[in-house]
Amino acid sequence: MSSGGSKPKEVKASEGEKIQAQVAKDQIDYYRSTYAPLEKQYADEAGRDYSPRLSGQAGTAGARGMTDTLQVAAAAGSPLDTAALSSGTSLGRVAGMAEGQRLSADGKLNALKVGLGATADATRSLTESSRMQNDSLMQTEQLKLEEAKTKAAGRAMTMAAVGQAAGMYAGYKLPQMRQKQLTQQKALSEATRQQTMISAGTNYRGAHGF
Amino acid sequence: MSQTPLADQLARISRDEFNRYLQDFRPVEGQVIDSLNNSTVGKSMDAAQGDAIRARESLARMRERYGTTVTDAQAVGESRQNSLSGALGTLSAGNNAYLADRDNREQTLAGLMNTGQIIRQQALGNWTSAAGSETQRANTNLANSSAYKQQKDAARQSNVATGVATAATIAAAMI
Repeated sequence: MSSGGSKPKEVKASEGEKIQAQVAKDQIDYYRSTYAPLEKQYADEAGRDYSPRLSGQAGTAGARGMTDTLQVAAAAGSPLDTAALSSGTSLGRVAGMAEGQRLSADGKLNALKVGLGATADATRSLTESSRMQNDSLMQTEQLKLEEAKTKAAGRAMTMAAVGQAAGMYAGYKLPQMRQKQLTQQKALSEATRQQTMISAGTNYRGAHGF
Repeated sequence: MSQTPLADQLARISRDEFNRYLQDFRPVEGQVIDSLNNSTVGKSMDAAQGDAIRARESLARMRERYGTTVTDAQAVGESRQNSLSGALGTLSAGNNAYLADRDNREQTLAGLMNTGQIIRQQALGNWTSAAGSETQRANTNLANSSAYKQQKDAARQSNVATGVATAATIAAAMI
């Protein structure tokens, strides 16, 4: 009789799987301890506002550019529209402030790209991990169902065999019992008939005065 | 015990990455959004007035140093011209700052639009994935439940058939 093969052994983690898992753990730990803080630092520093510095540089450059004109006018004793002269410096300051604001916002937006890159990777890995977990859980339930199905089929076969055996037994035993019953009934009928005849003979003798 | 400890850990690491974004980068988002309200108009106008004053003071110091002067009439004209030019310079600085702020705001908004789109894509991607898992799980549960029911029905029918057949055999033997 077949035993259906040997019991399957649990598939253990291969050496490659173990190494890969360990490498992955080492890498993520290293990334978290080394690069994640740098990313945070980048995010913190990206927002620095250099507007005052750029504005100041533009003011200094403008003042230096005005000096010659001021000197000429002062030496000549001629009137000078200093407000008009300084307007170029002011526009340089405006541009410096705007550039500072732009640099600050761009720096922050670039930092956000780094953060969003991390979440994009996390989105992919989360998708994969949930798929693998679900596949495993569903596979487990489906295998349980298959096992139950096989067991049920086995039970049905056993029941059919028992029924068949019972039928065979009944087919063999019941006619015998029936025969025995008929024999007993026949014997009983014979005994009854003889008793009746004896009784009838007794009555006859009585009728003739014995 | 879970059958997939590495996948479980992967899910936790992924969640940690999202948390890290919330902790380290979400404040930056807030700063960028707040920067939309930044205005350099006032500072620029103040700076323009300061530049005009410093230029006038510088000229006065040079005249002192060189020992030169202008006539009273020239001084009055110069003062009037300076006032007019100063006012115009201040307005011009404010106007330029306003335009520069608007350009900056538009560029920042464009950057924020990209950021928002990425966040939305990731949110919908995560949702799609979770919904897909849910659907797959629900379908499997439904199929398993149906198969189990069919299996039970088949077993019951088989038992009944066996019983009936046995009874029929016995009855036939008794006749």
